[in-house]
Amino acid sequence: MIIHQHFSVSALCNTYLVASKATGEALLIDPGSVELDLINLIEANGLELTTVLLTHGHLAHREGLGTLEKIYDVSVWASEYSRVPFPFNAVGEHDVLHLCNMEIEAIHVPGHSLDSVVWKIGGALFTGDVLHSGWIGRSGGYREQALLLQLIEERLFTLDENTLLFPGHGSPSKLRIETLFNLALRTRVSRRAVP
Amino acid sequence: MFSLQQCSTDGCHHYAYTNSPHCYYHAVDKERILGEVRQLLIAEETINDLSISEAHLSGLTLPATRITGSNLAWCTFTDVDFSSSVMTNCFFDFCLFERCRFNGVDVRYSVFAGSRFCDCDLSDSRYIHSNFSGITAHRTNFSSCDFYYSTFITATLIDSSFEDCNLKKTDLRNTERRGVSFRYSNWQEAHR
Repeated sequence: MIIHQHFSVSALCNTYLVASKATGEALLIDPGSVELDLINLIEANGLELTTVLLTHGHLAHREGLGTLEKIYDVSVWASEYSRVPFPFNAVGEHDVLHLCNMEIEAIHVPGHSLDSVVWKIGGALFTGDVLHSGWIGRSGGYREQALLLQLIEERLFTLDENTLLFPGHGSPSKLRIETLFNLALRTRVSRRAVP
Repeated sequence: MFSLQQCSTDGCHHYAYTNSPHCYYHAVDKERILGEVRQLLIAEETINDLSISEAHLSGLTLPATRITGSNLAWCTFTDVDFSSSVMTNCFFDFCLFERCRFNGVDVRYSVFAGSRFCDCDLSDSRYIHSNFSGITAHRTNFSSCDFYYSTFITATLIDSSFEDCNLKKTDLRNTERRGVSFRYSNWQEAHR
């Protein structure tokens, strides 16, 4: 698997270009904006872009899709709960897709938004705004935040601790690092420890 | 990206050494592997997809190496000079760096979380979108660096210097700091 990051200066979000080493087929996760650097990344590596995965429907994570579709013929995949204003292929909880010569699992983790999906490709998680390095995504209220924390623990922290983490904003990480140092999750653990 | 294949030893969660079923720790020919990696680091100008954990590397000078998509977690580096190297998508989590130099490096999307830096010099460099969460730094020089969008959450920083750094969008929350100078840095633009 090949993973390239692209930082969108206008949307301030990370876009990931993930490709199969064997076939060169590639997918983009969260095209926040499509800039020349990103096109160069695809073309310079000789990749065939066929797919776009959205972690959720917020504009900053999909604003470049319109431009992208003028250049590449891509199929778009997002949560079945998404309400984005363009056609897409809906994925349900724990659906497994076989795209671009890779096995891709959709893990539904609502809380930041109802349609938040974490994409698991091999030993890597693309978490969008669900889980960042050191913090978690913002929620609409305390109930959504509690749900988000609960689902992160139940659906992500049960995976192998060496799993790589590629968030929608900020630096990459691993699950073990977040278990130890993530501020939102540390608070929860320390609260739980109080009898 | 390095192969995300895990070590085939029961109960071991480390990633396997490049093109091997075992991690470095569980490999039968550790000396050969260590020799290979040492040679790679001092001779090659480009290193892609390397994966080695828990190795001890000392007394090396890298020739302005470009390292991409590599995993060197849990390694110990003593007197290693990484100066002028370019690192993208590299994982150095839970490493120990003693008397190492990172002058003039360009580091992006890389992870140093949980590592310990003693008497190291990381100055005059770029560490963009990089993860320093939970590091412990003793007598380490981070001055004249660009830490845009990097995170130091819960880091312990002792007798270290962050002078004249770009700290825009740098996350310094929950850091423990003793004898740390942020003179001439844009401290106000950091999350703290």
